[in-house]
Amino acid sequence: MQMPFDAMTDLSDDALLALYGNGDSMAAASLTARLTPMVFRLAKRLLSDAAEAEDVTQEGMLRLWKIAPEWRQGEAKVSTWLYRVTTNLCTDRLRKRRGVALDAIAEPMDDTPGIEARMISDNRAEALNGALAKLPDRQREAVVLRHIEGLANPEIAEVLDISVEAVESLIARGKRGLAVMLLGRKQELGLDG
Amino acid sequence: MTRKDILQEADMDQDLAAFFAAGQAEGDTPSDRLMLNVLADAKRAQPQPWALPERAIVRPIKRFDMSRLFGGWQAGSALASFLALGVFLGYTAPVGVTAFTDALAVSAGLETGAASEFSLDDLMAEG
Repeated sequence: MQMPFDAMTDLSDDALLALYGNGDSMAAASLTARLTPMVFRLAKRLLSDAAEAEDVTQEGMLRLWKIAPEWRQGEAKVSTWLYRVTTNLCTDRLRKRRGVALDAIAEPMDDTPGIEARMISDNRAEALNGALAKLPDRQREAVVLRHIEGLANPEIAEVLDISVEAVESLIARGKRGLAVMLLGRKQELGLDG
Repeated sequence: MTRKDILQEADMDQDLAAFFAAGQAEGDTPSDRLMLNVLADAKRAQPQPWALPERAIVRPIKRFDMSRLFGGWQAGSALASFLALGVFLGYTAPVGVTAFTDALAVSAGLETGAASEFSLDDLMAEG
């Protein structure tokens, strides 16, 4: 039996995955709409490359579809599992990339005219992305999960498969690294008050 | 960690907050093409409802039709009825059978009770 799409907005990711495993196509659409943007956002932050982030997103979601029939409800959060898969896929890509080219990280400039505030925000985001790309992988992952995705430290520990103390240490070192790279540009980025 | 370190860290957090806010606000939305690809993968990988794996499908065993031995189901059912009657008569007490046969004899006009009035000696004496 198929559930109507509207009725699925209140269901947990766990429940939707169980429905998907039972052949409900509406559950597939609902999970796609809910989880794909989340995975893509994280992958783009970690890789600083939209095309590669799309590949990683598709691969991560495919792994989710494949594991659905064996998924045991209540054991782990779907989003945590997906963050973990995405982080690992990104780490693999970054390792390969380092072996090929060092300067393939540059983001294309967006030359679409916009209001001043939007431009300042975009400039800051761009500066942040550039600085994040220069952090060691684990520090970048921890900082992005904590400060961009808004995960709590215990969940980050689960995603990265390390202790909560190690997460705290990674975040602290990551932020210090970002501060060194970014705070010298405060005036340029409209932050010197 | 000294008080100075804590204050420095608080300042750093405050300064970085603007960057993190800008990062969160950045509109990283996946393209329509990606969404369609993900959905297509989902459909391809989705288990079919109620589908059995190939090896679990058991072909029906060809049943031996016994009724054909007796000329079809009509003849077979008649035979089964007579068989049931036979079993019934076999298990019923002989008294019941005697009463049944007596009733048959009466209806046929035979005097079965008269036989008991002649002894074997009378018959022998008459030659």
